[in-house]
Amino acid sequence: MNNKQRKAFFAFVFTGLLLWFGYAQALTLSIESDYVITSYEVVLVLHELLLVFWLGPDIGVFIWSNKVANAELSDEVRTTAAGMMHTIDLFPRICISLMLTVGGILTEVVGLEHAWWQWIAILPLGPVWLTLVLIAYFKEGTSVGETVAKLDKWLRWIVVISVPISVTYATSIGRMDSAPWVSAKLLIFAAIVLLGLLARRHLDAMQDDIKKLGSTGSSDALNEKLIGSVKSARPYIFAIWAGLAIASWLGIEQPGSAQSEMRSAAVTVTGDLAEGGKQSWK
Amino acid sequence: MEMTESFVFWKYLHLMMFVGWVGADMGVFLSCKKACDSTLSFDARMTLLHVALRIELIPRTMWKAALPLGVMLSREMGLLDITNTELALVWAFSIVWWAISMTGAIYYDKPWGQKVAHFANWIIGAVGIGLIAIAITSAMGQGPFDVSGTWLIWKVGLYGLINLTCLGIVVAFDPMAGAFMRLAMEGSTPEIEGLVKRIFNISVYPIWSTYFLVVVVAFIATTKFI
Repeated sequence: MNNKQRKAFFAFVFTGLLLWFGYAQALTLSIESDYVITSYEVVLVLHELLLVFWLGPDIGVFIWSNKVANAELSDEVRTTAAGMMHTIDLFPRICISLMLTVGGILTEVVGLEHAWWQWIAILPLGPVWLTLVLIAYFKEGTSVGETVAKLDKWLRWIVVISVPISVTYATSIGRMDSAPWVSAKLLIFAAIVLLGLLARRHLDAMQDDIKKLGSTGSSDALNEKLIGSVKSARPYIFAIWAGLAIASWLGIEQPGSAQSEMRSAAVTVTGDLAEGGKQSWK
Repeated sequence: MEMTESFVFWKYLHLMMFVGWVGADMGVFLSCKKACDSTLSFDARMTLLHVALRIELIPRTMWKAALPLGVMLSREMGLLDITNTELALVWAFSIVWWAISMTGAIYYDKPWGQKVAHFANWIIGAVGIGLIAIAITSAMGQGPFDVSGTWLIWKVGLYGLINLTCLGIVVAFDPMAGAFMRLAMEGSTPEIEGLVKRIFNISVYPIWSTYFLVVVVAFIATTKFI
């Protein structure tokens, strides 16, 4: 086992342990506690961090894509820009791979209980998907990397198809009644994965053209193709950002939940705070 | 105090601020790191540095936005006793602070821009020390924040400290402009490459300290464990 493989192994084990810790604790500790760290809160922080390191770095990827499409820059600058897009893009890819598992753990706390067989799917999904993402990234250009990249793509298609089916079924039997906003978040997630796959069709073509740019130099035809690829991918990227922004809002507002209903009825926080009492809301 | 929809609104903006701060800053960090790659041409390295500084305008904005957004949330939660006039002053100060900071960052290549940036550094230092002082006095029951909201007092104090680590980044990274100027004039030499790498390696300490502290602040805000 070389150094990189060892690092990947430990990252995998760490992620697995973290998720298991969150799962185990989320089921045993209360959402309401204050001045203590509940594991619900730990997983919630992880959920927030996944959003932060998904959407935030994506802005950097977008800004660098402008440089790739800029024909006035030298070939080297443009290939470097494409390299930066690729490097920064690893963060969103990691975050997307873990989001369903972390979200699945959180939903248990808001009343959407999962059967044991569902946990068998939910818990390993994140670490397995993450492993695919990391191998595809670090082994890019090798046969192993290409194979794993295809597996990653297939897994994304499975998510795109299975999540809406699962949500539709769960909604039809009334399982999502206590947290309808979770259904919306899941559907948005599936839509985002789909949009990412569609954007990647253009961005993969761009990567091929960048390789040509590096080897043969720029030409008007190549520039047009590069500009076209970046332009074609943009609507999908903007749609992904909009989807993430809406999903974040749903996560905070939680429309249709008991918490939201209470808010509508104007929950009052009285003088408890001044008397050293605890807040009952987050 | 009634918890209204506006609380949710400010909380949402607070979260988005976090996204635009630490998340976007990853792009800045990685671009700056790549700019130290001596195998690249000077043109490519300058572009890396330039784009890093352009992306950095987003975290720069969010870092300033944290102040008024935090004040709004604190007020919504009933943990900060602040009048409308004082609130307006906080917003006005934050906007002016942001404008000065952005002007210094955008025109960093002009002498007057560097003067503005230098002035902005003083403001950062003052805000940092001021917020730490407010947190300490609040913890002693003499400050504007409710003494029972200890987690918020910690947040305020740590945000003050983050301002100081951000100032540390600015100070540590400042010689990079001079190093790149030498790179442009003298070309790549082991001495200049060593200088570039040393400046970056020193900057890494306040950079990672800032990331760590921002994540700690987010953790405290979510768990409210202290």
